[in-house]
Amino acid sequence: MTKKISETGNIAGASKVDSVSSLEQLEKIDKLRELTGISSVGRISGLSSEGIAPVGTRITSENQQEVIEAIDKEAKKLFEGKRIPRQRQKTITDAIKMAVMAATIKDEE
Amino acid sequence: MAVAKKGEPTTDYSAYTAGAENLIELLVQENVGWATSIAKAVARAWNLDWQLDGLDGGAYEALLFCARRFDPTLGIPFRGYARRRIHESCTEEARKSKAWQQSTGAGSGDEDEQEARELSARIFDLFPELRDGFLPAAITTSAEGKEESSDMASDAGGIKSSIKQLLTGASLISAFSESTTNNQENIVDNKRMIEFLATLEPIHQDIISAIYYQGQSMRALAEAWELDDLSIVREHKEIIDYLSKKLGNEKTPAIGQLKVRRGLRTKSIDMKRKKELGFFSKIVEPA
Repeated sequence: MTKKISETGNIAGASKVDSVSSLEQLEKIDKLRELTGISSVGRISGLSSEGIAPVGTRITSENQQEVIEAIDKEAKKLFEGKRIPRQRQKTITDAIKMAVMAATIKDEE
Repeated sequence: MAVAKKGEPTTDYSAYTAGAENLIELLVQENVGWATSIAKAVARAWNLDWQLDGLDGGAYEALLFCARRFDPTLGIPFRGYARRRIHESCTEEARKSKAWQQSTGAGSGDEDEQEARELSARIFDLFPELRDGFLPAAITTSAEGKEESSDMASDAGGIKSSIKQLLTGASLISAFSESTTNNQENIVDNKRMIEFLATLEPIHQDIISAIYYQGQSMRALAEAWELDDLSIVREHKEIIDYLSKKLGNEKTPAIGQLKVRRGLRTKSIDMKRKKELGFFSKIVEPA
């Protein structure tokens, strides 16, 4: 939120900021002489996710079954009406199930 | 601050020096059970014996390797740092094992199971986040139309989207594998797949052909193109996500052409300027 301040005239001692209690949005700063503390920043724009590798859902022993069931369901949808041989469909589905199982660590056995 | 997961040691290693014998000993002692669990998970999935097939040795070796290199001053949790390498080591041991080698022989009886094993091993190369215990991130479109990766820990939609990516990736590996291309039954399907891939941007076709057809790693491709690894990793993710949506909704025209991301735009423009066709377009439209 930005408020317009008019007719400020000359404010003595305004060259120094001791603290900023809340900052909603910051777009451009021409010059900053001294800043001793910022307590809260609402939003920073212009950051790109480029270069940050994203991660998805963690596979745990608790959700493994849900993931395995979802594999069967999604495979059925994906292969429906396509001329992919049934055996190849099974191999693909089994391979993903194997990968999910191999990625799930049960609590130290 | 990183929060320790269930069963994870909460020891503060900051007082230790990287590479010091006492730190290595402590890390190995605290994490050997966890590393064994990784070996067991891999063995269970591939129907192997975690001890007889040497997966325990692979896990221990990788644990020791990571313990020697772990630097506590960097603030990265040890298990977060070591998991991928331990998993990799276990899968390498599994593929070297007698049980694996014997089942690849002709007439071994369980060829289908072995084919699934081989395919799942390749899936780990393409989606290495699985080794860390994560499904590939789902890519969603925000209200502003920007593509974002979702962080939906328990969202069924996120799981669904991740699985679609895995299925698409596995379908591509399978389509280009030797056993599939030699099979008459698969020729029609492969022809359709190639025609479909030929509709992609030339640079996207070349990424798919390099990774899935020529078996090149994403890192090697990035090096060959003198690009950053992550540009290829991210672009691959986008292509797979796009293909999974397209292949799942072939009758829905709403999904437009996939755009080339910023990291690869220069290379893409260069290819277009030279009027270079993508790998699959060259097959479909021979010169």
